[in-house]
Amino acid sequence: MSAYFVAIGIVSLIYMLLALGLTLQFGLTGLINFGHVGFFAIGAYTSALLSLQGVPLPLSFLAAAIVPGLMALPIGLISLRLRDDYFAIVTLGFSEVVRAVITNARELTGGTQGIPGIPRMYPGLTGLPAQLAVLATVGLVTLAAVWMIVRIARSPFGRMIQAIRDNEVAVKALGKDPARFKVQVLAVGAALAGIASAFYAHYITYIVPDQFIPLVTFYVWMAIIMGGASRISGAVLGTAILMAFLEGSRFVHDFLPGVSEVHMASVRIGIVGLLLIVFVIKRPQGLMGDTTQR
Amino acid sequence: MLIQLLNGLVYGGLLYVLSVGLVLIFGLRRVVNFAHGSLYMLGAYIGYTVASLGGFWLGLVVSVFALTVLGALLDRFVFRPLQDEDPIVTMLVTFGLLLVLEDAVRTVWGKDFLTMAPPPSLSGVLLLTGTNFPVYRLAVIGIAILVAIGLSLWLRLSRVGLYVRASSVDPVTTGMQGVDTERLSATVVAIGAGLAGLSGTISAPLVALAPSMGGSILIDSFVVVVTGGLGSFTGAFIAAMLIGQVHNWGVVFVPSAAPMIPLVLMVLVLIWRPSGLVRAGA
Repeated sequence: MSAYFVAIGIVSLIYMLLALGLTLQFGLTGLINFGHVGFFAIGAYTSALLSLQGVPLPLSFLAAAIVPGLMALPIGLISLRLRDDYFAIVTLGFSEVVRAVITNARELTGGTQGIPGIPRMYPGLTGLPAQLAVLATVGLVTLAAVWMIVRIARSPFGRMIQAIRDNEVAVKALGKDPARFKVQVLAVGAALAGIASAFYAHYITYIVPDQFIPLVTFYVWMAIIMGGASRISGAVLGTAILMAFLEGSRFVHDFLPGVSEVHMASVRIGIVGLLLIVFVIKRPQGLMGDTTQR
Repeated sequence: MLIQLLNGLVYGGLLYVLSVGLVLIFGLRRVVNFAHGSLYMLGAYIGYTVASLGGFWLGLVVSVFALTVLGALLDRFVFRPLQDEDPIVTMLVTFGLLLVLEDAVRTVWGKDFLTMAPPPSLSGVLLLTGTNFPVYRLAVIGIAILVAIGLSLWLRLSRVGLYVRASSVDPVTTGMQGVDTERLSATVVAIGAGLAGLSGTISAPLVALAPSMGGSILIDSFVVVVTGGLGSFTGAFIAAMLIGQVHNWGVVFVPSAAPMIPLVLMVLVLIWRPSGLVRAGA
């Protein structure tokens, strides 16, 4: 049982890293990134392929952060000068293109078969100690990410991006170029998603294109909307609630004998969608949000 | 050659009927409706079920009717209460709706692929330049052209069409002139959803039905709407035909890169003209 909780802990922390990236992009800067999972996929494949070529894991993790970060630059440069709703469309399209490319580039990525046998972290350890070591590493990285975003939010750069979120025209009037800041924020968020994805790939040890569907992006959105998008504590709390819900609903079906496992899985997605709708309408600032601000 | 051109027109036609609904909804409600792809999918499934009971044409009528009603409900219970909120809020809600609808379809009809036959009256083939071409595909092109003509006539000649055009330029002023913009928006969203249902049902005999079918065409129809210029009907038509051809030739010549070609095209158009091919009246 404790192994189960450790596993959930690891997955939660991976989601939390994704949520932190989105908090930076949406909560602080107001970017509507509907393609978060695209960067997650790029990072996962980068690290998996490099490590299978014998590159040591610390280096492949680094690459998993750098490659999505670099990929974010052209996307940001092209699309961030456009309207907000275009950006949402372009990023969603981007993540679907990434998935299509991964599916089609069979020689490199194994197509729909995916990449099996990705090396684990801490090959010297087995069983629970190995799991705990992974948990501790992801935990430390998540703490570092929280610390980094708190620092960013309080820095002049952070005040600038929050100003962009609140009033982009005013920022332009002050002679600053919002697009430049937005591109940087997009790249940092993508790099965070990349690190999260490296942990994911080396923990699950098996990746296929189907793991990188837009639903993942929606889950992360769900987490930050529930928690409160403009607060870092919101990303943490929101992820915890999301995971509790996703995992908790697995147990519910033990008490509802008429409902099959498959049925429950699909009902779960519907409930996540409904919760998203209810939260957005009834409590747009989220649980941790500042109720005095909109 | 001609066959490929026609196949491109078929996909372009489906995309047009779907995207013009998006354009209508955007014009009146300023909402980028992410649930539009799932309306298309729902239309296909409803058409499938009714057609298996009472024939293709009944399926078509029932599906369009059901989606029109759904569109009116969508406007009443989602878009209208949210109209004063940030566009992000509405976008997220339609995002959530997409999940709920896909999920509802998966629960009712299951995950497996379903296939549907074209109506018997249109199931023949026609010999074109030495190759057999299904009559049904020609009929799809015909329906798309009829929708295009019908919509332009309605928008240009009828009183309601005038109100729709006025309201998409400036809803407040239009309201002050005594037009009930709320009812107008409800009508337009209903029509947009009905068109999604139409597009879904006529596409059902051409593709395999799966709950995920809405997602892929949603991306392409967004590409159409953005390339054409968000809010422009003419732009949507041109872009739909263009994307239909590009998509189809892509599938023929570079199948592995086909899914990304429309998106690349959109990005190129946006670099060239940041507000799309045709600037909207607004």
